[in-house]
Amino acid sequence: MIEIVGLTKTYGDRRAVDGLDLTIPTGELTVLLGPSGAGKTTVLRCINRLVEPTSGSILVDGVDIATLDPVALRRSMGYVIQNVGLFPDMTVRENVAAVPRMLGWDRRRIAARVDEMLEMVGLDPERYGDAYPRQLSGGEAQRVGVARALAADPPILLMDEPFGAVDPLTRERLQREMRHLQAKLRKTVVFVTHDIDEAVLLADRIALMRDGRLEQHDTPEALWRRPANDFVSRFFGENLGLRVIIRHCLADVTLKPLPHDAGGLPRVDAGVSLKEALAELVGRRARALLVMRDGRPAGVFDFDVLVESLSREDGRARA
Amino acid sequence: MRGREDTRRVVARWTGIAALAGATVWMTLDARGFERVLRALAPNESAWLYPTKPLSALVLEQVWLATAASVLALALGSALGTLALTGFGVAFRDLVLSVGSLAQTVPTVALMALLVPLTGYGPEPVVIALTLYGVLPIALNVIAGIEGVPPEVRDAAAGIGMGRAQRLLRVEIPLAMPVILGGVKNVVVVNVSAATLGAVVAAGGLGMPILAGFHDYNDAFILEGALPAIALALLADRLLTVRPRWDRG
Amino acid sequence: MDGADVQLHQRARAVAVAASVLGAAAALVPFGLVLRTTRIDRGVSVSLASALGVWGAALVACWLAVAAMALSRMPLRTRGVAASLIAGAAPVLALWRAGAFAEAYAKQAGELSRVSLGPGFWLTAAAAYVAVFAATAWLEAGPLRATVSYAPFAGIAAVLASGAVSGIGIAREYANNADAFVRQLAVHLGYVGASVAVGLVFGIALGLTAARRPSAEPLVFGVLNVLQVVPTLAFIGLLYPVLTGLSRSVELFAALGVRGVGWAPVVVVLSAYAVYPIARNTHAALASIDPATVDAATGIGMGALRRFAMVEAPLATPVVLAGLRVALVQSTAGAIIAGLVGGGGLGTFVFLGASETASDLMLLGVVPIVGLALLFDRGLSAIEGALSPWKEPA
Repeated sequence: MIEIVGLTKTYGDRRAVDGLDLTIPTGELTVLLGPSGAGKTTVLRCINRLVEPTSGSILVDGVDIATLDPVALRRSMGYVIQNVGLFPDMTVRENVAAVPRMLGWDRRRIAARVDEMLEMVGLDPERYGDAYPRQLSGGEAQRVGVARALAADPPILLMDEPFGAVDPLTRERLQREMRHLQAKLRKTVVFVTHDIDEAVLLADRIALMRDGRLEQHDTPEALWRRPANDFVSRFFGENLGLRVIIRHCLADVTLKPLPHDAGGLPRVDAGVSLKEALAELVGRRARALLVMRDGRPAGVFDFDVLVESLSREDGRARA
Repeated sequence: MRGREDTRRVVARWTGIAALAGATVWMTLDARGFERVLRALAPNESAWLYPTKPLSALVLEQVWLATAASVLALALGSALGTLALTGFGVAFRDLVLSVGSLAQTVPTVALMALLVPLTGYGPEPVVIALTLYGVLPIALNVIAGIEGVPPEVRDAAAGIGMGRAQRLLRVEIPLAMPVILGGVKNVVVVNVSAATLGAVVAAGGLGMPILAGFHDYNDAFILEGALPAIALALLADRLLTVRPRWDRG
Repeated sequence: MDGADVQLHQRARAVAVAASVLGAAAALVPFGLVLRTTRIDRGVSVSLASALGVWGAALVACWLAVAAMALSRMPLRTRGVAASLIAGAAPVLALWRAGAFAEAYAKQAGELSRVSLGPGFWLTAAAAYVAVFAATAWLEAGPLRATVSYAPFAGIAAVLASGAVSGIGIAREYANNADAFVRQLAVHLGYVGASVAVGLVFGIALGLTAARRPSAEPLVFGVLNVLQVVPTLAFIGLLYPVLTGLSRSVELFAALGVRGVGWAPVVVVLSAYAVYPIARNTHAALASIDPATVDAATGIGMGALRRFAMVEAPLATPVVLAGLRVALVQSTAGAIIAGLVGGGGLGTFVFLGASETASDLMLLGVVPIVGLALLFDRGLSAIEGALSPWKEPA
């Protein structure tokens, strides 16, 4: 758990962060969201002490990080940034091995770990291991950046607009993979972005910031249903609901039972998100979809199901 | 803020130039006054001014040698650089680049000395050597400057309907100017400096009193040549350190 | 093979043909060799082609062959190897036969007579450089290309070692001055080594300072730039009274042989010149490192020292080496000035030769200077390349 207490950082007259209190639960992905200049990156860089706060403190698992050696602290946290920052003179393998090497792992353990990491982020170690960063595409470089950050298996992962510099298609793939990765690894992730869709897709909780202050800290569903103030609702706009439904897939919701004449309905796989299912309804001008699970019909999805699932989700968030 | 900083830089630059130019002119023209300074710096000598030639003549020789070589090098070098970028000459671009770095390995004064059997003693070997020495750096900078023009600017120029020659004259050369001027500056400064060595092949210039001073163990002769030579070289350097307005900031 | 390659090969063709024309002209111009009755006689010039008889014809034939190959449709690899070897053979052939010619001439014109290599020979060497440069563009980078590129140098070395050219003027000067040559070569290398060592220490220190504190940058480079601009001879002249005074007032300096002329001012001046390229490259290298790389290094837990050792230093080293290369070439050429101010070195031969108008003696000084400078240039370029495998190959 990361507890941020009364964090303030001023640059000259400007308050980049202004008395921020925020608790980031273990094993969750928390997105710091807000317009540019809101202080998101400063908060992130305070967590690994690349920036020293003017006042306030940050506690990791109850320990004030100001009392820790910053270098040792940073080695216990993965760090991924928008410009990747791969070491241009090291191969992909050497880049990923950087932190384990500093931690003094033995050679064989490093080699095995590096290959494991590369495979985890979807890069073939045979093909990419000995390449230099200049030979990688933006998306590949960012995968290597994630692999490097995770190599030493740090419990905390800090990510600063990690997918901001890649093209939209690659970004979407990386986001989806990030989601699967996090579902598997359950790290405590602090993720900075200004992209609402990215935040809604990835976040367990969103901390919405403005001018160095926290406006609201809650699940995306709660932000949609119960915005704390005008700024929050204006920031997310009218269609946050439409965005939120990307977080849930058909397998999560209670479908209507199969009718007798289901054969004529368009079919859709249970793995797709509610947003995609809704798009399918609209696109096919259908009233209902036949949801297939493992190749067998599992139920029927229609607009009622969607509405029902959303109110249920709301209830869960409230509890 | 920016404006005041700018003004300060401009004032500093022109103060420096004025001081250097003033010093050079004063040393050259006020022989009596300069002699008094030399007398103060080297009180133990019996003579303070190089007897063979007045300083004004030596300065003129130095400037003449450097100017002749620089003008020739500029003309030949920009022709060579432009040729290496256009039409048939493109084949020789890489060669010019390769030889350009190679030529720096030959000491200027050696080139002057080696030319003596062909040209005889006098200013000829100096002018020829310095010209040969300056051609390639100028050509290299012309090539680097024009090739450094961003392709999107080139595209835009073509896109608004400029022809090849128009593009070169109105867009590429002006944008390449800082780099070309950088090369010109280096060549001129090297020439003003190296003209001092012309004394070795009897071409005159400010090296004469310096060599005479080494020969006679006369500090004053050495300083009489060295001080104006340094002032001239610094003056050339300061004068040619320019950046176009669009490149500042 | 893509279009850019084809275009490159076409262009090499034009360059190779031009080099052949230059080479043939060099063989035919009437100042290939200079025949003198004494070593400082002005002498008469003859063309290489006429002096070397049948071998002269062979020399011209070499160039015709290179031109013909350049224009032929031979496979690239064969064409590249054959044309560069033949072009490289031309100056070797000319040198070897000029040696034989010199011996014959000495028998006829007496022991005092000299045969010197004239502009025709040096043009032949230049043409060979250009032709090999062009022909190797037909070859892929690799050991084969390196071998054929450096084969001519091996050929020249073999001819020199065989003693076949001992009758040529520059070799005769060497024979007369062999002891002095070795001594002055050592002195010259001493100047280069000392000045570059000082340049490295100060250059790296000042470059680092300028990179770490931007406020110091204008001062550091302002001063270094002024030093760079001061003419060599005037610089030594300014030091003359200072060093004379030092040696008179401080016994240690006097004991070390510090005087207003001699080795001391040469080392000071060459060192001052050597600082600038190294400082500039050190600064540029550190300034050009992507801030994201440094941020990432810090962010994954590298301390300042480790970051410097693992990230910044390896990235900067090739660029610093490039500065070292410039300094080395500059010092090697610049140390010639020592010969003018009583400091010895290879310049001794150049200035002695200049005062006697003895070209061969001047060449005895100049040729090794140029050779050394080229050696340093190529050697360090190779090291730079080997140290930066992550960069786009040039």
